[in-house]
Amino acid sequence: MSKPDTKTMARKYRLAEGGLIDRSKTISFTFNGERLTGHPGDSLASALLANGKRLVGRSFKYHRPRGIVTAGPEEPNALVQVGRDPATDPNLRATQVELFEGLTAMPQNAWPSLEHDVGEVNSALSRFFPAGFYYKTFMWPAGAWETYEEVIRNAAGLGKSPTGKDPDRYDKTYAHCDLLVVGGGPAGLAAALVAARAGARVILAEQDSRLGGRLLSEPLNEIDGKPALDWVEAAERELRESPEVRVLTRTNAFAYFDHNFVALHEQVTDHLAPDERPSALPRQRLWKVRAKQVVLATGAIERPLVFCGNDRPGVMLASAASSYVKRYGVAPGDRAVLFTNNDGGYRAALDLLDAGVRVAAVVDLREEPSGPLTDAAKERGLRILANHAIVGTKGRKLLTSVSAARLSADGKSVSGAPQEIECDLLMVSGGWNPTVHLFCQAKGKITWREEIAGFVPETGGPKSLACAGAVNGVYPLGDCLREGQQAGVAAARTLGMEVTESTAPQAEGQDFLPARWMYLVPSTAPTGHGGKAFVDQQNDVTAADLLLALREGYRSIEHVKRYTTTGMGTDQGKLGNVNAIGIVAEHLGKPLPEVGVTTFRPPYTPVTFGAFMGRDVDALLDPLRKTPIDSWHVRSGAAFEDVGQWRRAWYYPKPGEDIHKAVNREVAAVRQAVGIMDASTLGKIDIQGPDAAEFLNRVYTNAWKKLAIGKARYGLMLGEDGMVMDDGVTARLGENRYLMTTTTGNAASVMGHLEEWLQTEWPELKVYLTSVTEQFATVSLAGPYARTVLAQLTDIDLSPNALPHMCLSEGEVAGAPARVVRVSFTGEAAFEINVPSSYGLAVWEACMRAGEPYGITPYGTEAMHVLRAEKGYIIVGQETDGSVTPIDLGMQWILSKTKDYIGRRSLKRPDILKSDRKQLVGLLTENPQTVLPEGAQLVEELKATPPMTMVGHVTSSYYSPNCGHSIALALVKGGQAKQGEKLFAPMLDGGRITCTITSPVFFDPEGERLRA
Amino acid sequence: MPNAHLRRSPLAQLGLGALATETRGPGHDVALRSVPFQTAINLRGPAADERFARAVEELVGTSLPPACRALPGKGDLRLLWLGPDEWLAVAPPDQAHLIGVMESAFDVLERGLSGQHVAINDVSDNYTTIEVSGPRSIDLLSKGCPLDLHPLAFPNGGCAQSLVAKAEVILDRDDTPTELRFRLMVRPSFAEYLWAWLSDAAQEYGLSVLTSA
Repeated sequence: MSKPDTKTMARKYRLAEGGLIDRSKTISFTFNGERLTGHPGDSLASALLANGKRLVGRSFKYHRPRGIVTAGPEEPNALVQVGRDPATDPNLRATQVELFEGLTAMPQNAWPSLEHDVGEVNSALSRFFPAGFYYKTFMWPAGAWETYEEVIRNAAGLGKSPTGKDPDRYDKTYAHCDLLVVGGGPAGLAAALVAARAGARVILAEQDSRLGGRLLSEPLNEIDGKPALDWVEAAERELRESPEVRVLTRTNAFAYFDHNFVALHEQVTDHLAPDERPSALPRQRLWKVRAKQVVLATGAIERPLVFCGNDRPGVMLASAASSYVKRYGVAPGDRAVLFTNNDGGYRAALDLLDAGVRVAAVVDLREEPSGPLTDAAKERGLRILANHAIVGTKGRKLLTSVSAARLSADGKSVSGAPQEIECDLLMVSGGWNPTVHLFCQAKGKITWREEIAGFVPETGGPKSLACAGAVNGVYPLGDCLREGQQAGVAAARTLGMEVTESTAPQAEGQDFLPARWMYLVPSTAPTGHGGKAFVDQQNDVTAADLLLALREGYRSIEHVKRYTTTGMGTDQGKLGNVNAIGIVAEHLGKPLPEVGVTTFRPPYTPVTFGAFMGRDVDALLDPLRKTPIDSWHVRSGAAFEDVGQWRRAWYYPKPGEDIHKAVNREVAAVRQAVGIMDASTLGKIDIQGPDAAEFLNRVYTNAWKKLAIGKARYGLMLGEDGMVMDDGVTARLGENRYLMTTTTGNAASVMGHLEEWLQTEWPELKVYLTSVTEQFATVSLAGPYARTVLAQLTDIDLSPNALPHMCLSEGEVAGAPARVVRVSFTGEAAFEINVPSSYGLAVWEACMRAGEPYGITPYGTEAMHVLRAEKGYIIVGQETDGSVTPIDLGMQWILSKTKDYIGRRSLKRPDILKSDRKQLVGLLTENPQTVLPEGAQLVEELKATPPMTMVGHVTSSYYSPNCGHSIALALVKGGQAKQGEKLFAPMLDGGRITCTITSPVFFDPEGERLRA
Repeated sequence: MPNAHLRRSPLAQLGLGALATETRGPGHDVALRSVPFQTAINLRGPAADERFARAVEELVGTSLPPACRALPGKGDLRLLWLGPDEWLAVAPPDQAHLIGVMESAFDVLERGLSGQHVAINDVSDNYTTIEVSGPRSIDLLSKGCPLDLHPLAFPNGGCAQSLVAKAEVILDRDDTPTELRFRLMVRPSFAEYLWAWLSDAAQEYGLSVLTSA
């Protein structure tokens, strides 16, 4: 096959003059592996058309050849993959991709190539792929769906995901404004201008690279006596120079949430050649805008006509053909036919004539075509086939001809022999669909206006939101400007601003009427025979598919949509939905508005995941909270574990040690010498006020009123449901002052819980709570030599009489102001040294130096877990999971019988008192070296295969070097009464572990070491 | 504080000193500065009680600030509104004696306030401060803070508790005579994350790191 000379082609379709492109500069780009050229100002679509590239993709299901249909975000066919993996984006609309030097784009859904597609066989077999095909075919066997899905995805996939990490940077930002204007066309500009002049903070978001909206394609209009684009330029300059105005082009307002929260997606550098993109700038930015007032000037999208063969490359919206001629200086074909049902469609025919393109005929559905543009076309001598329909098209990879036939008297069929008209471009106009997507997302109600055949916003919609211009079904330019100006004035006045200016920019203009509405154009054969009439080109849904769905009993438009997939592509039915509704309504014999619309959901056009993530990736994905002593742990080679957002030292391996060896060494050192642990992450809440003790009495299960100053007590906190919520030690610091500690992971939620009760249930209590978690670093010394080590560093009397277990004292430790608390989570005599956190590292290092002669050993969270498990101390979140009561844990001793507390009432429920609830027990394995896996299910009766009756599960399990055997804690049904009974833990490999129920306290049950 | 040389900044391991300059560099529209060891005292009490308000004013040299505002007091002290019954007195480092003075003053006060109570907490080490300054400060903070920081909504002297990215902060706008300046008081464990986040977000504006106080 010989390659066409692209230069000749380009010259042929690129018009000699006109348009907003810079012919003095040439840009090279690659499409489908072919090197082509265009100019600054081109979209990828316009450059492809200039190069005579009319076949640009294959359809989703049937792999039919497809061409460019539109010049905007509604494009269903010309989807391209831009860039090279991993910096690649699928599903971009060629109509919205700006050309840059070196742009590389590939068509989608074409395999092995655009010209020769294997999947095209689907098209020949299309009668086997009706609507609902997936539902009908892949129902059985259910387990095979994953296989089916993979095959279907490969055949039907929309583009390719990048395979590597995204190399680009993205940004997210909040923004606030008095007025957000969506749409930079005439209405939007008028609204923004007047509000800006009144002093409002304005954000103007325009999806296009340029402001102007449809004026970019209709530059011959005049506004205030000036050429329209001059007016646009002046408006843009004024807005950009206003300090309180932010003009965002290439920015798609894609979602509208409650309270005027609107999400914008800005493509910051996508339009630049990769080597011209400033490295400091993000590629894209997500704007999270909170606007006091919003004006939606989102315009309208031309509606195609549904007729046989309407998807052939060369079939294009009439307004798009105008855009290519007027904005891009490209002839979208050699020989055109216009197929229209309204006067407005004639503009495209006139634009093409002006550009020197032949227009072979106009096929007009109207019985007696009339209107200002129709009249102009008649004057120009255009051949008009009135009361005619196009009943078929020809051409494999490009349109070669259309057939037109006369409509019958009732317009429901055609009569007479069709006549064939040669053409390579068919321009189609079926009226306009106001772009009400954002308005509907804002929960605005829309109403059907039959005279323009469009859904428009109801007046009196959501407060602080107004629509202006074509989105309201208002099309004449002067009216759009006036509506925009009025919306801007109203917004500014609502905001309490003075607006002096009262006249809107003036312009002539007309709408597209008169029209004759027809949602499914009749053909020579019944629907479904003799050629496909597409409603949704992107998802390959035909009029016949809709009728099939109706025959099969679907009535709700939402069901018809899901069954046929119409409107479910990335274009979300921007072109097809109203036609689909019209066809369904006609078939059901209902008025169109009774069928209603499907729900409009974000995004308006697709948004990259990168923009949603912004910079919240890698190290910035989530805060990694570090203690004041963290740098020492790093220097000492600690292995870390995450506890909530905190990074905690897990264990400190010496060379050659694995986790087991390291933990065994650390655990033994605590029992035999002295261990040191960083406990800074514990939550700390300062509680002050005359009612502080009463408050503690209500939030903890045990009694607090008799705790003496300088003493500490363990407390258990329940939810209202009686389930264990948190635990910790609270110390009384003064007459009316306490310091509560919480578990590391629950610090914030406990604070929230306490504040909620204080503020909403007990406002009469005189108590103030202050979070002081990070005010203090906490260094815990535990073990037989803990006192000896600490004594070297402090003036505090540490003797057992002066500072017994659960008492505290204040003084200085290693030069830092300190509070030392005798509290133990290991079962050893232990001292918690609390110092202002900036001293934490210095105090830790001093302890290490002082402890060196005594073999001081840093121990991490894993050793701590073993040590506390040896003592049977629970960890909230490990032994408890929100369904465990203190009774289940055998902690009745901590439940006061003489006062009320949160959760008390729930503990009296019959279910809570049942004897067969899961209860905390200890487990000893038959083989003392075997360590049960945590989470293992336990059974009393072992069977060869599951299912077996499970009676409980292992919550904590370790090897205990101090006991010389493994130990485990478990929750077992009725376990407290089953001491000595045997249980089995069946393993995944078919094996089992035999164990015996014991007390959960394995080490020093009398607590002698603790009080030493 | 005794033995202040033992104190260590939560950002010490970043080695910011090596990067720092005295003033914002050319073409740099934002600057970050680490300001560790500020004295911070949390006050709770009945705003409506005149005796309480007067006692605070005598101690810190300013009346209680209105909602979402900070007021300068004696010396370099600032009093920040944190809530209807909560304030934060912020002063330069190592003014621990302030806490003692306040504690005893409030002890006396509390006994005098019939049916009212107050609370005071030294939270100097519960926070560290990162200063954001320069003409693009608001743009930078808006990337992570959902509040409207426009001068009309958040003027000089404004303060609020909010988020910057995923870190809770107390924002205190305290402009220099020539520059926008925000103080971000953040819990020490979040400081490294917040510094890294701000540095990354500031790239497009040009970033200077200023010498620590």
